[in-house]
Amino acid sequence: MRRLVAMLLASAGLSGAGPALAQADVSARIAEARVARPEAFARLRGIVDAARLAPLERRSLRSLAAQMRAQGLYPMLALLQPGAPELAALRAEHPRRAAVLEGLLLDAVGRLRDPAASDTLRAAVSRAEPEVAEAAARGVGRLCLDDDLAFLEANGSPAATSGLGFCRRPATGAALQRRLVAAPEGPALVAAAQAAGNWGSSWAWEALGPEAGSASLGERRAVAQALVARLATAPAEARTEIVRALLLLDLPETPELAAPLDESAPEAAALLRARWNARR
Amino acid sequence: MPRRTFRSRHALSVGATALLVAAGCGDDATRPVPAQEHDAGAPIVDLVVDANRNGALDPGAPDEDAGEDAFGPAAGAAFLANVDDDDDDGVPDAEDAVVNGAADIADLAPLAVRAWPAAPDGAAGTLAVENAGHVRLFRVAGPAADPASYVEVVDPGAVELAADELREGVRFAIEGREFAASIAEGAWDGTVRVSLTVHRADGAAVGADAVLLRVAPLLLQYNTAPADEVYYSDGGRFNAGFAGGVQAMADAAGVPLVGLDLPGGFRDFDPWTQDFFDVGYTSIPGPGGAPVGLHVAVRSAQPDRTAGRIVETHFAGPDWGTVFVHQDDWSGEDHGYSMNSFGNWDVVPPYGAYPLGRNVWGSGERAGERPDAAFVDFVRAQRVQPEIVLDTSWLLVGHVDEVFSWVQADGPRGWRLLVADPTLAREMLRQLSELGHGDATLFSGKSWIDWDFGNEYPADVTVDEILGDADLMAASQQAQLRTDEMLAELREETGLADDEITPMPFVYEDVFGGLVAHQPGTVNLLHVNGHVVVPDPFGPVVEGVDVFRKDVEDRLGALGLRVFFADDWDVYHRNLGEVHCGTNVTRRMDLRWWESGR
Repeated sequence: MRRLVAMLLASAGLSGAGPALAQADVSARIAEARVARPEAFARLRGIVDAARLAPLERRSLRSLAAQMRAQGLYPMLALLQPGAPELAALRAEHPRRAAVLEGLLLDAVGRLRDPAASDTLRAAVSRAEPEVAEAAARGVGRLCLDDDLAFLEANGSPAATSGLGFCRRPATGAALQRRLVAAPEGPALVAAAQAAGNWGSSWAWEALGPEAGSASLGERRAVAQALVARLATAPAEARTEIVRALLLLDLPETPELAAPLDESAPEAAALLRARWNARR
Repeated sequence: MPRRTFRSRHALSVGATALLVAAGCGDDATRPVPAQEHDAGAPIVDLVVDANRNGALDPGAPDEDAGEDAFGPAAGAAFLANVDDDDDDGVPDAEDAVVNGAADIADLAPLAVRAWPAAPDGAAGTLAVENAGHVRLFRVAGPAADPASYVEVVDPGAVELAADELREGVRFAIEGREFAASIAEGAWDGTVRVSLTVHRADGAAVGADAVLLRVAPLLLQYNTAPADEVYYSDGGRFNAGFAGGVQAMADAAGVPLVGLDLPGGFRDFDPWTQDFFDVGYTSIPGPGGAPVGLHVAVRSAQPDRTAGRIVETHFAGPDWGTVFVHQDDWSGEDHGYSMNSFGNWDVVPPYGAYPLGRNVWGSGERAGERPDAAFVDFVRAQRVQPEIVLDTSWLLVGHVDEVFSWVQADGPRGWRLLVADPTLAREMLRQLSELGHGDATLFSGKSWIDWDFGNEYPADVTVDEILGDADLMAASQQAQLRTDEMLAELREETGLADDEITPMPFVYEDVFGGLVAHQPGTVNLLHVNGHVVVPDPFGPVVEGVDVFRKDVEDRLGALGLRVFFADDWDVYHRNLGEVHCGTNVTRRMDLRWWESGR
């Protein structure tokens, strides 16, 4: 049913894969949508107006995201354009609230996986507000075209790293390895480990089918090796995330990969072994 | 600075009346506090409190005397924070200088200066209450059953007693003005020390005595305690279907279901009845040592949450007090704000060395991911339900009741832990697929929504579509991993064995970077006296049977529970909560906390 809905939305011009669009084209599509579906714009404005009156309750986020997504890509993109007055006003009054709302919009846009949103998403990856940058990076990761992968790899921010975790292609493995090797200890390494776990999730690769699973196996092994290599010297928070990532990758050879740690970093080795043996 | 408000409500408790009568504070105003057996020649300088916890003052009794100057598991006196409003005048009883009717007398702890019949002329005594600002002291100047007999002592720090008063003995009653509220250095630890010194006319000291009393803690209730009343937020037709499901369970359990008429009306309708208030109980030893006390409705540390005012509009009154503690400096934008909801505050039922259970709440490592510090401090200051803190920051909502629940069961503990289990859910789905039921539909007839605007789109999804959704599977695997971490910590703290844990299958999804139940989170159920009401899972139907619903029925039925289902999809599940989130309960917590050793 979800696929059917996606197809219906796509056929209605509301979402769906397509070519990346130049900004002028995006503006033109927004203008067309504004004429064709003014009610969608009004609904999104209503959401922003409501946020000016009260904080966004966390329990409302799924519903809000659904409401946003239901309005279609271009009405959402309209709100995300630089200088869009609705969010600007909210930002001036309630910056934290505006960041969450903008992040939600970007998250909803990203889930449509429409390349027409690529520029908007990429532009937001560098924003200072974590909710905005991370949602945008997730969106770019979900698009996951070659350019998107290259963009995320070139952008060294923790948000961009987290976006790599949503780009479940074998090629992402190499980018994650490089990120794991190069990341300084601290938030960058934590983000790299989290992204590696999300990208390498064994359940996710099984969901993508045996062919995808096989095609990615070498990359997943290489990422596991890179994780183990950082485990030896990683500080506590990063160590926890690295162990979690290895558990998510769930490769049978993990104990062998980690064996050298018994001598070089026995504490880390013991932590991994304990978690590995206790896993479901 | 934290902000604390203690307000009230109470109905009947006869304990303190009995205490006072037993202490010689009966209807005869002139009756002295008995000297009892004593060497007629020796001075009597003796303060008497109910240290032996039998609900009566026993002047001269060795066990009353021996345990009077400390508080431990075997002896020590206690008093109530008298935060209820027995005369229902809108003012908590501890906030005014009078005793508010006969029921209020029951909320006072007795204290007496034992009679020294042979006290010489000119002898005088001084009674002094340390930490007097936390209590109110009444002198009982007439029949103990008459509220008018109770006269507030203006300065409990120095009460002068003349010779004739020493000869007759003097009766007092004490009430707490507040609960202990902080474990910070220098904060009030909940105890008051009362001393008595007596001297002769020439100033020569005759003797001295001292007693210690402790304010009763506020016990938070656990899910397996006997239930007296069940609540939900009455939204009329809006959540009538849900209420019907809960009502069926309540009827079977013989427990009233109350639809709360929330302040703010429909505009501010808040369906999360579990979240905006909690119920606690506070008590002292009454007649025969049985607990007597009052319920307390605790408002969540979310000052802008209109529904939280229900503690005043519905609960405050006779036998019911209220508590509202929060930091002045708070942000509704933080994840920690959601963690202040009481769905994130649960109590592990009693076991082993924890006869009152243990508070358990979720928190996070980073700033903004922790519950209100003042409220945490308040809970810790109660001391008798030591906490377990778990990392729930990975959950979008961030509540422990999204992952764990407790139900009564056979076995040495008398209860079991229910745990969210995405692995089991995935296995069930895979088995269905392997058996050729991959096209069976979940969430049939349900929709995802925007209910502000009425736009809905079908939620129907097949078994194979769920199994083929990489994002959903990654989120579920991560949820399993983090649940395992929480469970490992809980097991380390409680010693729970494998056969004391029941898995509850459902998969998770990622919403805006946080995880939340994608299928109705069946672990988030309501337990009432051996009955449970569970969110209808709307699972795949194979040969006329909802496989997930049947699984829950079998799983919980095997524990001896009567299982009911409520359709919580539209109002609750779609908005990231389930049955437990949408209900609340008053439970019986008349436990002898004073024997806990904490």
